[in-house]
Amino acid sequence: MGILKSFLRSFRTNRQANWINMLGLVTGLACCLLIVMWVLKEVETDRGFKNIDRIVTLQGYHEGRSPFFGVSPAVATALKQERPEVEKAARIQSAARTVKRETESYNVSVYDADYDLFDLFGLEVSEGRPFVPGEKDRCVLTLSAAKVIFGDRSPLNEVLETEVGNFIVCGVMADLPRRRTVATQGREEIIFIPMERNMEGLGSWYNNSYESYVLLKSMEGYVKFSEEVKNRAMEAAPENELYIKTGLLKERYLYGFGHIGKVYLMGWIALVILLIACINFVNLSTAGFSRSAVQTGLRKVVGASRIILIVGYLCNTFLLVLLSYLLAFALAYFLVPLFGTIIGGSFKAYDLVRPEVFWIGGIMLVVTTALAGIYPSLYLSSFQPAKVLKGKYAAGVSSARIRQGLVVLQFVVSVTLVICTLIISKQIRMYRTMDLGYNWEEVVYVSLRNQAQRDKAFVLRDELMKEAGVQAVSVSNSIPTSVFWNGVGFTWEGKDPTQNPLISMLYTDENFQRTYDIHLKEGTFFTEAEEGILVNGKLEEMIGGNVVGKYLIWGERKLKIIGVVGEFQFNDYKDAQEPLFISPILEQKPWVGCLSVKAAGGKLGETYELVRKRAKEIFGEEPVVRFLDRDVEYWVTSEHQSAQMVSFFSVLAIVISCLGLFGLATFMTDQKRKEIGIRRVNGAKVSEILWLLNMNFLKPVLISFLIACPLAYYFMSRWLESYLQRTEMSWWIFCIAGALTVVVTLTTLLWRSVKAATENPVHSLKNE
Amino acid sequence: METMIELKKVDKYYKSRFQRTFILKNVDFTVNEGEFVSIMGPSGAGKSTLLNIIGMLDEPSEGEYFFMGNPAHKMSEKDKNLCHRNYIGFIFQAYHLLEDMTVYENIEMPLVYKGVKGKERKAIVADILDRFNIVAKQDLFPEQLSGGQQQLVGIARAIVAKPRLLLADEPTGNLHSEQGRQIMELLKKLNQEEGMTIIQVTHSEQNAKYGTRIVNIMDGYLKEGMATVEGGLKL
Repeated sequence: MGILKSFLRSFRTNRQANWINMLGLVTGLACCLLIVMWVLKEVETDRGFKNIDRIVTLQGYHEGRSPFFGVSPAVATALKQERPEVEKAARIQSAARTVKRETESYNVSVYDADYDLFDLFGLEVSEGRPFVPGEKDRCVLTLSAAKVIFGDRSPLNEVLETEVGNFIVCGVMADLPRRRTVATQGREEIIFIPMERNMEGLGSWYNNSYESYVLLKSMEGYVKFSEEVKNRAMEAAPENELYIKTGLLKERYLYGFGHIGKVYLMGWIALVILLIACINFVNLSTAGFSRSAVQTGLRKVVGASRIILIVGYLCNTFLLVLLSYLLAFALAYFLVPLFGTIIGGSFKAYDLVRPEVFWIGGIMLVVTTALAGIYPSLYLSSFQPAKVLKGKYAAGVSSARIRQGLVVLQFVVSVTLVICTLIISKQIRMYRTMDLGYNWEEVVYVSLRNQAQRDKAFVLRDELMKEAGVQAVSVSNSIPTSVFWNGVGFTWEGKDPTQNPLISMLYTDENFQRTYDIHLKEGTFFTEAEEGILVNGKLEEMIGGNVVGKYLIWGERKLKIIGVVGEFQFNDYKDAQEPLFISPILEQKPWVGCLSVKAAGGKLGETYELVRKRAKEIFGEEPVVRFLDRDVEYWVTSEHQSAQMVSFFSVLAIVISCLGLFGLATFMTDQKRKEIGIRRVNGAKVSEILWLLNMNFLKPVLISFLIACPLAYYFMSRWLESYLQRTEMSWWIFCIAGALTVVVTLTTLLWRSVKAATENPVHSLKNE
Repeated sequence: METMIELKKVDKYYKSRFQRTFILKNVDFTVNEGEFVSIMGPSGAGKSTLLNIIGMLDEPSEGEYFFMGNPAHKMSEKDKNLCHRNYIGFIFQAYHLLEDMTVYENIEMPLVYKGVKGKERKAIVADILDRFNIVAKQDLFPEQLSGGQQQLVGIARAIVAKPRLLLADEPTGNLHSEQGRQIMELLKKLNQEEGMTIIQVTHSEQNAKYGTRIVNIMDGYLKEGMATVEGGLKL
């Protein structure tokens, strides 16, 4: 009889057992496939650029501090001129955020870029051509930008207006790779304009806001290049104390930004889940094999050789695993969007269809089948048909031990994951409720996008102050969550001359304190009448002593310190406190980045609408208004996603483990059916039977718990090390995890065993 | 007539801790080709064990067993496997049919393992179905058949590969008298018309009468002839 037919028949006969068995494998596999898809996408970041292997990133840094994303503009030009190994060099910098054509205004990112940009990255210009040296008023659009602005018409030779000038479109290029770390402001709609249209500032060795890249002719001399380039900025401007860090663009996302950690984590999780699912499958499969021992015995009697039986069994297993894989793929396909939500990032279903996914499937198919086949092979070698046919064969003691061992393994993993989930959630909750030192829950802010908006900011402020429902409005160069102005070269009385710290600064007006409810430790906030700066705790500590009244000297400026702010955790709350001062806006024509509005109690939504309306009226174009709490939430988001992920997978692990437990319990109760009947007839109570049936399984689960606790403790200690503030790993967390495990396990087991324990002995003791 | 089966000083025991529990003691047993032997004795005497040893489903703890002149106690698993395929057929008290295969598929199974080609298999199986008058039932599954019909299928399966030796363990144990009678008639016919050597284990004196020879097992010892109530011999 054909193998397929035999498979279908036997599948139908053991339908329930097969579905339980497959369910665990299908679920585990599906998750594994999704994670593989994600990992591959992460690893592919930036690899969409043609010349990726030879592109080197340049980043400036001060000793002991994390590097900036960019570097001073003079660096790239210098390297191109002076070093023979450099083939091309290019800088990118954000120039504007809006573009106007005729009367329509579009939110498109405009970047200044060097002429070499296109050759450096290997960017294809599909229509027209890139701009060339000498041209100052051409621009190149990405396909998406062209579509948004011009629809299906050709944009060539059309004119676009920006606040930095008008440009004629000379080319259209393919969108930059969706996954990239280059030119990340704005998504796909990007316009490049020639950086050298305005040479002002391009020779500076300060100002690290220029994304800079070089293309090396060959990677052979890279290490030497890296060492020699490091001090180039120091040579030109020693007082700035700026070093140059080189990196490989293809490693930036994973290693530079540290995403490799998450990739490894997910990789391990995928492996673990797959392991559990496979162990499960093998466990249940071999239990099933024992169940059909009589059949096997008979076939042997009738003339089947050991080889035939093993091959037959393997084919059966193979087909089962194959079926599981196909179902898993289908399941994963449907779950792609949900997965994207949990882990962050958008995925399309076809992202799943790639060769690596099929390779993995193939390997898993072979490995699982092999593992599931080991046991029967061993069993068949010590075969005693006589015993088997009499029905005296019960799954041997040794195999029961192995099964218990596997159950322990599964549960150790699951319980560990549960404990980790609880601890991670606790850590996140702690951060969520942390006091940052300023009111971020009730603030709405306007991001000023161009000079016109910046000029009108103060007018808008005064208008909004008149509104009821608005408590305070303040104009500043940045909001507390993204303070990016900083500098060196500060000094004060009694400063250690060898130190040259990097100090951050926030420029704002006198309404700032009221807008953000800043608490002052000492002194007063500045007003129209009284000028001066406020320092934060870290800067106070650095200056030392009683700082109010002292002066902070910066080049020609003497800034009088008139107050100290209390807790003021600007930027990422996880970072250690850095020195910062808050100052009134100093220049005549100030550069301001945003306008913050504090809403009266409970009126956040309405205030948002109000601000939008007024800003539109005054600016004459659609403003960009945001909720500050969303930005703060963003810092929590990545932790939040980690927590979601871990909790999702711990639930998954528990589910699969319980499925395995359920399957094993089913198997055992089937085997013991007659024994249960006999015991009941002899007076055993239902509770005693339940105890008998389930004790065997509770033991391994309890052992797993004892192993999982120290394991989880260890992993979480390591994880928490990367945080400044750590939540406590209280004992009650472990208790909850334990209780949860016991409850879930008992429910699973009882579900199966209650039915068997309460069965009328008449049925089970009937003679066949 | 050749000697088909020869057991010499065969012991079968189980070791537990420091004790040996004997099932068979010092058994000398010879069966020639063409005989129809009935093995009788009280329950637990070791009848089935003896049959299993003869059928190479079990091994003696001590002693020698020669099957068709070859020492079975020295045979590799592969050789035993060949014996099962080509020379020995088994009939069980509990039928042991494969539940998810049809009557036809159950019967043809030994031929498949033997390597008989499709067309030839078809012919052989069709012939047996006809002989046993169960052609109409060939596509049914065992659970759709009565006990007697299932045993019939079991016998068909046992003889389809034309074994030289047929071993039957209480073949009528689960059947009522009329069905049992039919089965025994069939066995007798196989033995007399086709010369098949048959060894059966049975409780029933009536069944034993269908055979040509009776042996008795009591307390692990084998004796020729029927046992009397007093324990003596009755020839």
